[in-house]
Amino acid sequence: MDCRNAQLLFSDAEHGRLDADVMAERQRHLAACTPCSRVTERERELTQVLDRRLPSYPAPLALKLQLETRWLMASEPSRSRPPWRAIFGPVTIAATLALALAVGFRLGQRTTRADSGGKTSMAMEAVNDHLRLLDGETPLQVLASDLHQVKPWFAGKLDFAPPLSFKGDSDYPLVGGEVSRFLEQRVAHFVFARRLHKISLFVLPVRGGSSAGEREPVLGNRPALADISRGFAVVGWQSGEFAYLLVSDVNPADLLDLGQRIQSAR
Amino acid sequence: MWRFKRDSAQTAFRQQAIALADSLHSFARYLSGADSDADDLVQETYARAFAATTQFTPGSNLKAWLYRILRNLYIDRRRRLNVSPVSDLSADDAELQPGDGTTNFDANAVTSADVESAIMALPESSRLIVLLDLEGLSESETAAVLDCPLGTVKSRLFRARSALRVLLKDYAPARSLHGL
Repeated sequence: MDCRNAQLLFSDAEHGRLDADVMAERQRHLAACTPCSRVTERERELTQVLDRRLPSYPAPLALKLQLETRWLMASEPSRSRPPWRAIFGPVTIAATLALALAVGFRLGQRTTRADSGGKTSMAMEAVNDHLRLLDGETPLQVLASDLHQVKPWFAGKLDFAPPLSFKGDSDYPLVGGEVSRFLEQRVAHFVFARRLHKISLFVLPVRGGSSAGEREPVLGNRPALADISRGFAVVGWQSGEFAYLLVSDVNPADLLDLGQRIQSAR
Repeated sequence: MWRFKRDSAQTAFRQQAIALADSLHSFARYLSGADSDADDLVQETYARAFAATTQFTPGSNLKAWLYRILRNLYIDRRRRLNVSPVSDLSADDAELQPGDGTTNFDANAVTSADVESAIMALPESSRLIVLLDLEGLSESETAAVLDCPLGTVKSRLFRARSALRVLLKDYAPARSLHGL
C-alpha cells in the first residue's frame, strides 16, 4: 500500500468499513511510515473537533410535533382501533408532553369551579363550546371576515372589549363571532377557518384577586398546547388581563401557529 | 387483517423516518444556511418520502435515502428561485484550498463558531461530503446522496478535510491577534 492509498482510506478505516486484510495492510504501512502516521493523527484530531464542536441544529419541537401529528396520526387505521389510540399514540404523547414542558403550560393543572363540583375541565368546556359551534343549529351571530365589523359588534354585549388585533389572513381567515357562555361568564367567541376546518377563539377576562382566583385559568404567556380531547386540540395563553383559548380539530401545530400570529399581532 | 399489517408497516416506517428529523434538520440547516429553509426542507422531504415509500429499498440506509430526497428538493428550490446552481464536485476543485497536507491547527484554540464558519466556508458539495462522512455514510451512500461518481468521493473527502484544516488554522490565530 502506498502513502496516498493509506491516507485516502482513513475514513473507511475509522468507520470499520475495510476488509481485515486491507486494514492489516494499512496498519503495516502506518507503522513503517512516519508521515502517514502523522497524517492519521491529524485526521483523528480533526474528526474529534468536528464531533465535539460542530453545532448541530436539531428539528424544533413544533416541527416534530407537526410531523408526528401529520404523518403518524394520519397513518393510524382509524376504524379498527379506538379513536383515542389514534390521537394518543406514544410518539404524539411524548411530543405533546415535551412541548408542554418546554413552554410551561399550566392550563388544566388547576381546576375550575366546575371541576370542584363536577368533572368538566376547562379544556373540555372549550371543546364543548366549539362543538356547539360545529353543530350549526344556530348560525354565528355575526358573520364577517372584517375584524372591524366583528369587534364593534361585541360592544354592549360584553362587559369588556376583547383585545384582538389579528385580522385573519389567507391561512386563517376570520369567519365571524358571537357571544358564548364559558365558565359561567359571557366571553367573546371569534371564529377563524383553516381550509375546511373551523377554529374557535375564546377571549375572556382574567380577573385577579383571591375571590375570583379559583375560577380563573392559569396560563403561560405564550401559546401552548393545553390538551387534546376527543380529537380536538386546545391551545391557550394569557396576555395581560385576558386569557385566550383556541380550539379546533386542525393539526395542533397549526393551532399553535395561529396562536403565535394572534399574539404577535397585539 | 392484511390492511392492518399494511398500516402497521407504514406507521413503523414513518416512525423510523421521523426519528431521523434531528439529523435531517441539521443537514438541511448546513445545506441552506437558514433555520426557516431547513424547516421547510424537512417538511417537504417527509411529504416526498412518504409519497414514494415504495421506492425505498428495504435494508438500505434510510437516512441516506432521506438525505438524497432533501438535497434534490433543495436543488429544485434553487432552480425555482433562479439562484445560482448548486455546485458539483468538479466546480469545488477550483475553490478548494487543501493546503500541502501538513497544515494543522490548534484544536484547543478553535471554538464552535470557528468550526461552523470553516464548514460553511467550504464549497457546497465538499461541505456535504464532510458532513455525510461524519454521519457515517459510506462512500457509495454519499455518492448516491450527491449524485456523483463513486470513485471521486474518497479523494474529495480528503481534499475537503485538508481545506478545513487550513481554514481552522487561519481562524484561531486571527482571533488571538484581536485579543478575543
